[in-house]
Amino acid sequence: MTSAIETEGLTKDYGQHRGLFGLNLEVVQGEAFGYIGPNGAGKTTTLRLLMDLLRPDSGRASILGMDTQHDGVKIRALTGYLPGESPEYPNHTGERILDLLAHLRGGVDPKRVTDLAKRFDLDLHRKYRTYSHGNKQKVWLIQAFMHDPQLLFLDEPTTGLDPLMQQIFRDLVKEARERGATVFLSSHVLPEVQEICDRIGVVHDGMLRQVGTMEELRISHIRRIDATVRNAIDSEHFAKIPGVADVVVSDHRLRCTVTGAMEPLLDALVPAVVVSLDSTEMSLEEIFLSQYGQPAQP
Amino acid sequence: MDSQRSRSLIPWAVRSHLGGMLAIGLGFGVSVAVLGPSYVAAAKAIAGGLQALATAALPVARSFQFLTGPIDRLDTVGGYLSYKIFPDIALLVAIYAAIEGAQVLRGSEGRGVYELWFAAGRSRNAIFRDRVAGFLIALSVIVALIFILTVIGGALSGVQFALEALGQCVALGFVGLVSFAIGLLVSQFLHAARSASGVTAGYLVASFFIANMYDSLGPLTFLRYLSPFYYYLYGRTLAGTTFDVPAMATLVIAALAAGAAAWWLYLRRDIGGVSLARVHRTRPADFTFRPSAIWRRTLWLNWIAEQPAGIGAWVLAIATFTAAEAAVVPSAIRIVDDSSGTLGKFLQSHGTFLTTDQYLSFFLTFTAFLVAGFAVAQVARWASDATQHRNDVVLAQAVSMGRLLVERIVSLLVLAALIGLAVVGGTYIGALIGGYSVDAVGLIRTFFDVVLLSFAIAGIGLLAVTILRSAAATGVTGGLLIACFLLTTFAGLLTWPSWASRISVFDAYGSPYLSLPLTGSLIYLAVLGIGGTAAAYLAMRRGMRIVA
Repeated sequence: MTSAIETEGLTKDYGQHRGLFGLNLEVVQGEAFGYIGPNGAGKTTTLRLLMDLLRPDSGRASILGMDTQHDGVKIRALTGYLPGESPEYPNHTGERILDLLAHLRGGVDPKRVTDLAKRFDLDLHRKYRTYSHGNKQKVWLIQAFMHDPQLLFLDEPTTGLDPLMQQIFRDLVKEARERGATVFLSSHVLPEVQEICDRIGVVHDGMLRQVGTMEELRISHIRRIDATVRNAIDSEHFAKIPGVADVVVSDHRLRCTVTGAMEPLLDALVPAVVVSLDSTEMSLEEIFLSQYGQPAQP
Repeated sequence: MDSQRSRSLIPWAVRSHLGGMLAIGLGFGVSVAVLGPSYVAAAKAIAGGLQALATAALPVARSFQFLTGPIDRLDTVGGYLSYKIFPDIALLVAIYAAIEGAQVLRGSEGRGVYELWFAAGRSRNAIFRDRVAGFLIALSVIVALIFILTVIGGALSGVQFALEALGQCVALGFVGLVSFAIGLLVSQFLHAARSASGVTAGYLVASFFIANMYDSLGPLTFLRYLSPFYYYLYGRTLAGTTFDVPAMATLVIAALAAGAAAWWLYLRRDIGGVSLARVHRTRPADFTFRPSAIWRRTLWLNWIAEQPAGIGAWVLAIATFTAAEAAVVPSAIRIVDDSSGTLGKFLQSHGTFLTTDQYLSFFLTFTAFLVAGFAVAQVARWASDATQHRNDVVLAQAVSMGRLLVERIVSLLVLAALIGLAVVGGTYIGALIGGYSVDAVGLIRTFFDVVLLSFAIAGIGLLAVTILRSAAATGVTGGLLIACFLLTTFAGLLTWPSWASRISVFDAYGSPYLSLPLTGSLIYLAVLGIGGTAAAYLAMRRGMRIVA
């Protein structure tokens, strides 16, 4: 499989431990890659480095086989980018903004823009300043999708969109993938990442901590256990079992989480005589919160 | 529950004025403090001292009355300061106050700050009161700094005029007050703080000239009553004028009336909306995308198309100013000829005579300051493109950083050519009014020098925007130009070596109508433009900060 995105030791240091450090990542063509992490983790910095809007202090990145610094323009011609922060064009209509951007890019089919505006229910002939937050976001989504790019960089794409429009967005991503496009999606909306993406990367404090499919993340990670037992149990005993955490014991009930293999916990429960046992996979959001619940270092 | 009273916004409001307050107060104060002793030193160098210097300078000074207002008591330090620098201070303090007046409510509103303040339990009244109070404190500090430094300058010149300086500075403060209130009022009717600032500043510049030359306006002399500067003229106590209480009261009442009207409108309009807003009839949503033929295909054309009102205002202001300069040339020469003849005799003794071309060329050098103002306004636009993330989305459309820079320069050069045409057109019209002919080659030289000066300032501004990537870039560019102006002014007065003033872009601009500037000056301006652009490109390539 050919790489769509490849980085080696990509670093941008803003000082005070802020930025992105030593990012090694590969995303193959046609893949949808979710990029999650707390605020200030380095997600937007990564996207801006890949778009060549920022220059790295060290390391390199290539997109579709081209170096981001040497072939930035060629790369951006093949890419759709949704910025994390909405640009301000208060006195322009939506049509005028898209007109400028379509002309700069070239090769945009006006019917495609009209079609996207209809699907997003966006009146193109109103001033940008009169748009709601969600409607402003639609302008930038349209410009990201209007040329049917081979690669989509989407930074918090559903910000401000209502559930109906979020579904339209997911449909567009699906259509893009059907024609072979690669999607790199940075988001806080973890169910959305869970639904759209094949693989997920977790970035924290400027470093990529984990990469894997949903299954891999779930298997290597956490299950929630809720057990009712007949005999009295000692919470400290359970807390010492490898992989067991967040132990709460009340009356004859044990609640905890287990990372990795379940056998040690089940063995420990046998003497207490298990009456009932529920084991549920944690959602991506719960995994994220359990691992990175602490805010990022300033 | 009221143990923690909500804090006033006044300290925050004052902090928001801190940079401008100190720059204006200290900048003008120091200028006044230096000018006084310089004048005395120059007087000591000639026989007859201050009296002789005043007699020699008076005809020339009178010929500039449209820029300075009435000229009195040039034989005193106070009279000289009142003529030489206080008119500029009054105009610039008024423009600063008008910009702040337009910004304090409308600017914060545009950035969405008000929602947060309302959510934090602040009322409209409280926000209005605190923001106005914040500016009043800032204005008081400006006036106090100028007053203190004027008194110090007087002491260094060997004169005591604390009371006179106080009167003049109070009048200055009142002009600032009324300008702030007008800016506040105008901003209630316009969505953008920048538009409100432009409209108010345009009114103030026009009213400045009206106050200075109302006696030559024929049936329109009544317009002087609409000019704050007309009333200010009655507070020029440094020049021996008696502090006119009714005139000052008029300024205060006008400020209160405009402020009260702004307050009344502010309480009744939508946040983010405007007073007297047009109600648009509902129409069905239109999803159809119709690409334009040519107008928006390039960035530079689009940037120009984005600012029709701004460009129109600059062109009109510069053409009007230039026409006024050119129109008064014959009367200025008459004033010199009708005077005691000191200057005329001096020139004749050196085998030269004053000609319309010489005077016109001298007057046209003032146009450079307006051109500089225009170029800084463009730099401000570039800075806002970076801070408001417009560059990100433009670069995302397969536009290279180099192209972004080149298109910036192209837009600047096209607009500078328009400004150059405004100068040429204004001069031509002014000469027609004055009844004399102009030198076509001189006008062509002036046109190209205007474009070259704009290019030089743009080079500096482009580099500042690329490195700083914030509104600070505008401040740095403006600060450098003020330094150039002061350098040109003081190098001549203080007889500094000639190379010192050559650093100034205004010195390099020269007097192009009469003769081509020195080759070195032309090269210097070109190097600033090309060098600044090239340095900005290298800074981008190195990723110093994001993008201009």
